[in-house]
Amino acid sequence: MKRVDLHLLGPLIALVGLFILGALLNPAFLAPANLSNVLARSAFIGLIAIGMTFVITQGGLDLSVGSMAAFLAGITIMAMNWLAPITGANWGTILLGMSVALAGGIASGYVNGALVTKARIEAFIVTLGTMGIFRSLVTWLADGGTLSLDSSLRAIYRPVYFGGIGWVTWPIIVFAIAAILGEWAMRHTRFGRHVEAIGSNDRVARYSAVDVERTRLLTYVLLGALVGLATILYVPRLGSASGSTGVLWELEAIAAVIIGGTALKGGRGRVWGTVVGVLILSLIDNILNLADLVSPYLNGAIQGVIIVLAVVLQREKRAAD
Amino acid sequence: MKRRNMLKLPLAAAALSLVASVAVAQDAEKKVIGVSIPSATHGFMGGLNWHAQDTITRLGTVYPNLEFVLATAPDAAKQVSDIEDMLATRNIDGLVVLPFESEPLTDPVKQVKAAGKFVTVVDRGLSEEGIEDLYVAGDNTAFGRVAGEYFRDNLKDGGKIVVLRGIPTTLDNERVEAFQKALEGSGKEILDMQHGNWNRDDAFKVMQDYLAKYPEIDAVWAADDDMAVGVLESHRAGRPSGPDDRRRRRGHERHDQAHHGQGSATARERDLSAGADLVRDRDDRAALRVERADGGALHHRQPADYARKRGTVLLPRQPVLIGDTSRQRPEAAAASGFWFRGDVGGG
Repeated sequence: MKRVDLHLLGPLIALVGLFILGALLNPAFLAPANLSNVLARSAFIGLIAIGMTFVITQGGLDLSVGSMAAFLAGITIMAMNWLAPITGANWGTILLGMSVALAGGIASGYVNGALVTKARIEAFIVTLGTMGIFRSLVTWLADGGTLSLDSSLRAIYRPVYFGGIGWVTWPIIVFAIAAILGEWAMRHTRFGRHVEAIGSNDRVARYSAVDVERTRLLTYVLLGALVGLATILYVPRLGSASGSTGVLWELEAIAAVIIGGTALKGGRGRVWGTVVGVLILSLIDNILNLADLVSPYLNGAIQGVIIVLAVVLQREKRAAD
Repeated sequence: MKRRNMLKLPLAAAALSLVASVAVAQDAEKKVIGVSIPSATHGFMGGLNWHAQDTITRLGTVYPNLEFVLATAPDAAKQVSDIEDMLATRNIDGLVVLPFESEPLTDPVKQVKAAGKFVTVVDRGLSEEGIEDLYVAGDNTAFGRVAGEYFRDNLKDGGKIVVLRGIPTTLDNERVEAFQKALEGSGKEILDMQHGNWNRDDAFKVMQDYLAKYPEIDAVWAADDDMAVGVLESHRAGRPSGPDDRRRRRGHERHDQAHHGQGSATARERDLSAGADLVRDRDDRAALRVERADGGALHHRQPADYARKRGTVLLPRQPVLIGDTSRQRPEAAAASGFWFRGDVGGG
C-alpha cells in the first residue's frame, strides 16, 4: 500500500523538490511575481496537456497540437484584424475572435478524430500529417513572416493574459478550472470511465456496449477545443503568430502527460498528474534561468534527464507492486 | 527569426550584382539566372523565399531580357539535384545559391563554376575557398561590436547589461564574442546571457526570469526584432505589489532598452509608435518593396556598388535602439521612436 502511494506521489514529490531547490538557489524564485509568471506560462501547455491526457488514455496520440495552436492563433488574429473595421475595436470583436479560435479548435480536433476513427488511419500518422498541414498553413497565411494583431485590439485584449485577480492572472484561473473539470471528468463521468476502458482494452469496451469510435472522436474534439482555449490565452501575450509559434508544444504536452503518470500505451489517465508534469517542466526552465547552474547549452539535456528519470521511477514502482 | 532579416539584403544584393555583371554589360541578350535556396519550411526561410520571389519579379520588370529559374529545396540532396538540373537542362548563365549545407554543395557549385558560369554564394559559405565569384553575407562581428560599442559609450559606469542570445550557432557566438570584446575594460557588467533562440516566446520567458533574478538591470541587448518584442512584452507584464517589487519596477524604468538589428533601409521606414511587432509583418515587407522600387538603396545604389565586384561583400548593418527609456515607461519610450544609427561594418 505504501509503495503504491509513493508511486502515485512520485511526480508530486519531484515538484516539491524543485520548489525547494528553486527557493534555495534564488530567493526571487518564491516571489509572487515569479510564481505568477511561471504558472501563467504553463497555462498554454497545461491546457493542451489536459486534453492530451484524454487522447493518450484512450490509446491515441496527437502530434498536431503545437502546429494547430499556431494555425488557430493565425486565423484568430486574421479574423479580428478583418473584423476590426466592421465591428470596431471593442470587446465584441475580441469575443468573435475568441469564438473563431474555439470553433477552429473544435473543427481541427474533429478532423483529426474523424480521420482516426472513421477513416481508420493510425493516430500517429494522421496527426503527423495534420501537424505539417497546420504548420504550412500558418507560414503561408503569414507569408513567411509574422501575423500581428491590430494595435487597437491588442490594447483591449492584453488583460486576458496579463490581467486577473491580483497575482492570479486569467491564464492561471482558466488552467486551474480546466484541470479540476478534467480530473472530475476523467474520474467521475461516463465519458472519462469509457476513455480509460477503451485505453485498457478497446475490444472488451466494445463488447461492453461502449461506443468506442464516438468516445475516441470526442477526445480529439476535446483536445482541439482546449488547444483553441490555449490560443485564446496565447494571442494577447505577444499579439502575434508566425511559423515558429508553438514549435514542439506537442512534445512538451506529451512529456508532461507521461511525467504525470499517464501510461503512453493508454488505459490509465491522471489529469492532476499531468498538471504536476506541466509545472515540473516549466519550473525546470525557470530555475535554469534563475540560477547559473549549468551552461545554457545544457538546458535541454537537464530537461531530458528529468523526463526520463520521472518515467524510470514510475516504471520501477509499477514493477514492484 | 533573425537570420531572415540578415538575408534579405544579401539575397537581393546578390541577385542584383549578378544583374549588374550579366545583364547590364550585355543589353538585350537573353540571360538565365538560376536561384537555388532552401524551401520555406519555417518563418526565416519563408521570408527568404518571399524576398527571393519579390526580387525576381522586380528584376524581371526592369530587365526583360532576364529569365530566372528559382528552385527551393528541403534538403541538401535535393539542392544538389536542382543545381545539376539547372546546369544540364536550363542552360543558366549565372547562379545564386544559399547552400543548405556547406560540404555537400561545394562540389556541385564547383562544377557550375567550371562550366564558366558566374557564381554568387549567399550567407553560408562553401567549404572550399575561391570557387565563387562573389560571396555576400552579413557581418556578424560588426553586429556584435557595434552594439557593444553603443553600450560602452552610452551606459553609465558600472551599468548592468543582460543579453539574449540566439540559437546556439557559430553565427551567434561570433556576435556575442564581438559584443563582449567591445565592452572589455569599459566597466560595464554583463549580468547574464541566456538563449532566447531568436524567438518571441522564448525571449519573453527569459526576460521575465531576468527581471525576477536581478533587482537592477540597466540595459538589454535583445539583438533581434523578435526577441525585442518578447522583451518589451515581459517588461509591460511587471506589476507592482510588495515594497520589494516596487523597487524592482523602478529598476525597470531606468532601463535602456537597446535593440540591435540591421537593415537600415527598413529601419528608417519603421514606425515605432505602431509597435516594434510590426517590424517584419507582411505590411512592412510591402513598404520595403515600395521603397526599393521607388529607387531606394538596394535597387539602384547597391548594384552600382557591388557590380563586377569579385570576392567577398559583407553587408553593412546599423544598430537600432528601441527607445531610450531613461525615466520613462518602456511603452512611452517606444512611442518616442528614437533610433540609434551606428557605424557600418564591411562593404
